[in-house]
Amino acid sequence: MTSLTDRYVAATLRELPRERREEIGNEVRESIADQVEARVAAGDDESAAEFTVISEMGDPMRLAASYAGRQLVLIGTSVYPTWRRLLIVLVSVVTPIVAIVAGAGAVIDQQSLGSVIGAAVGAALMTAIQVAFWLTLVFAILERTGALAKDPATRDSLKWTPKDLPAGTSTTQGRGDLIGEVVSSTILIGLLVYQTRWLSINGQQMSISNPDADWWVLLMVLTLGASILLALSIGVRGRVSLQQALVNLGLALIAIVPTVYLASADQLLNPTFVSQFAWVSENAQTVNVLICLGFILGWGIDVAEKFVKAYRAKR
Amino acid sequence: MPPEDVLPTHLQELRRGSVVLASLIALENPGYGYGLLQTLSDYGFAVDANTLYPLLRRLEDQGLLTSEWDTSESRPRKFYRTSRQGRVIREALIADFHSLGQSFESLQKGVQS
Repeated sequence: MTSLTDRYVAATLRELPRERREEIGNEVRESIADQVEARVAAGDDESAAEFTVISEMGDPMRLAASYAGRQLVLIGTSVYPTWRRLLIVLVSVVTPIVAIVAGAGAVIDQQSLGSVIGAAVGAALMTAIQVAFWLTLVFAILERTGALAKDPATRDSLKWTPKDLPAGTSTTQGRGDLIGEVVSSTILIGLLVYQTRWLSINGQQMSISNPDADWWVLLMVLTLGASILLALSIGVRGRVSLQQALVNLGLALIAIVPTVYLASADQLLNPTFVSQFAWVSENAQTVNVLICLGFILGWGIDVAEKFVKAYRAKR
Repeated sequence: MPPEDVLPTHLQELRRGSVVLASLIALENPGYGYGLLQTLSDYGFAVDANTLYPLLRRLEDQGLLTSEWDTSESRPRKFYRTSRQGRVIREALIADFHSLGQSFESLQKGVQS
């Protein structure tokens, strides 16, 4: 039967280069034997002493790393900030693009609203996971081979300089965000109200939204108005609270759910308006899907942003 | 960090590296791992076996220690000894340790006056 020591030595050596195994194996054996001997001399039972000594020696992977001078991390402190910055940039740039392309592909395939959204969300998730995996793998390899430390050009290009600082000084909701939100929401309210009474196409007054669903326009104006009030209250506090982020999520749902409901019943657009444009009337479903995607994307980004800011403000 | 861990953590930081110097001093007389472990702990340098053995190995790789296996006893033991290069490094480390102590003292005096 193999002893605990034999198994411990084997587990340690497995992590080490072949040519060093014999000598380090002898050293580890010597170390354990001497410690066990001392414990037995002090009155311990031999197998109990062996168990205690090996417990104190600790995880064999850790011991082997200590012998080999290896780090016990996947991505060390020297490259972690670069890895994190690249990860955030890549995921936030690549993921929405892939989501839009996948969603558009499903639209072209004349699929239902549900499968279009499913295709977009699924592609976004898979892309985010793939990007994170491959980026982490590359950095782990760079870390292990020491390529970053060896190659001065790569090292310098990844080195942080004051030029990398973000433009603003605010650590919370910026003034620019506040102004942008108020202005864009006001413009949207104006357009919504304008198209109900004053838009004329081919010399004929008509609204884009379905006049039989005027309540929808009212609801959109109210949610946009509420989001302006929310932006102002965030501006006053200077940071986003969790409650405000939740209110924003509520507003998003109040805006999105009826819109998707009307669009799926083809009740969102004014039939008179649709009949003026051959392409729109032929592709009514596509147009409805695109409107829904636009709503979900627009509100979704806003909701996610507010939650991220609320989370950061809390720390 | 729990308050009771603050002092031990800082002490550990301050003592980091002291085992290297202590080993280079102690191994002026040849010694094997466990014997050195006991010598060090007798003189107040607490160190675990799983830290000391790999450390000796690294110092040998750096050329600061030389080693040979002694097979005259019942079990073979690896005896380490400070090399010539190890002595040079040792003297530099001792000098730095003293100058660090002097810096602390003169800083304290400078603050008090």
